[in-house]
Amino acid sequence: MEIKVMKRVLDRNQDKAEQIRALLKENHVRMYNLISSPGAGKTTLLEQTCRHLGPDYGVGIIEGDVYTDRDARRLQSYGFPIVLINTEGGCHLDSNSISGALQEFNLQNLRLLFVENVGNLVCPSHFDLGETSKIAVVSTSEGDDKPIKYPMLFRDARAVVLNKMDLLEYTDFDYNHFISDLRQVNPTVPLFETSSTKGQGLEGWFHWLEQEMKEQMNK
Amino acid sequence: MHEVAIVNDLFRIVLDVAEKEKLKKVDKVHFQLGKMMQVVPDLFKFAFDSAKADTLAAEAELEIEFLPVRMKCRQCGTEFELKQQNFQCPDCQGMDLDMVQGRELIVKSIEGE
Ligand SMILES: Nc1nc2c(ncn2[C@@H]2O[C@H](COP(=O)(O)OP(=O)(O)OP(=O)(O)O)[C@@H](O)[C@H]2O)c(=O)[nH]1
Ligand SMILES: [Mg+2]
Ligand SMILES: [Zn+2]
Repeated sequence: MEIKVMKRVLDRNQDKAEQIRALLKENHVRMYNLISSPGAGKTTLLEQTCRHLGPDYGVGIIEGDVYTDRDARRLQSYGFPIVLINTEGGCHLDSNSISGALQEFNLQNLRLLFVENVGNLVCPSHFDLGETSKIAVVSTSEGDDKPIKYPMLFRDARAVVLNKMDLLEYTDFDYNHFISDLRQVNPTVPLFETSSTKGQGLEGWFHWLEQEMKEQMNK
Repeated sequence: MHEVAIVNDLFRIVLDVAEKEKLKKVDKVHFQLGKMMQVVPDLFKFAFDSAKADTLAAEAELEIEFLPVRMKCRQCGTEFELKQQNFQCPDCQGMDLDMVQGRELIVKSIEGE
């Protein structure tokens, strides 16, 4: 006997994500889901961003880490509320874990919530967390072929950060190739070229974030 | 390894239906999989075989129907199949496209008795 089912897998994740999206909207909080390969520079970029925005900006952070609390500890000194989600080996965050983490925040005091996803380019791009937008972070030390290999992420991303620009000359990263591939996949996404450790090239990223936040206030 | 999370959720659905329909065993699962989901078929099958042990679906076979990625041009309305990640309309060269197919993860039907 064949039974027709026609049910979408992961629809519970999707439903939860939509609930989160509504909750954040109600509280005027924007949530950015940072996705990259391991070590591309998400935590360093967040450190710089926290430093720039200062403790009164209403920033919160959700740290997705496979086993440790190292990244969360690096970010602790900036005085923002941080909630750590250990995925116990899991390769991505899901909306259920975000929903639990959100209960630890006082949303009324927040404007901007960063989620550092688990370092991985495939899995996190397929799990909606209820974020306002996804941000893709890539670095010059991991090759220039990421946009073509992971088109879903680069199409969904609302901004792309190309980090470790200071290492460009020491790698075989083909900058022009990267740009043409990125533009093939996503012709319009804003691109920020940064060196997070040196604090270089971050003005554009900060400016973009501030514009985004203004949009929120006018809504 | 989102394959594992997908397979686990797939089993939740399959076993749910099997229970509702009072099946004694599940023989086959028909699954539709959009190519944009970047699922590795071998990993997926392996995860499926690991998950099915000791369930009603212990002997079930997984049949995957791969769905190609299809895009629709917002400018001229042309629909086309995406090849080599070339996100450009073949008719008007427009690049403002919507994905109309490619992200499916659908349990289409199950066979059992
Ligand atoms: N040269 C250089 N090194 C960088 C830059 N940004 C980060 N790094 C270094 O790269 C390493 C990884 O940076 P993280 O910020 O921890 O990267 P991450 O994406 O948070 O890593 P995971 O959380 O493990 O996925 C650290 O040693 C950083 O100091 C950069 O712009 N230039
Ligand atoms: Mg990190
Ligand atoms: Zn067209």
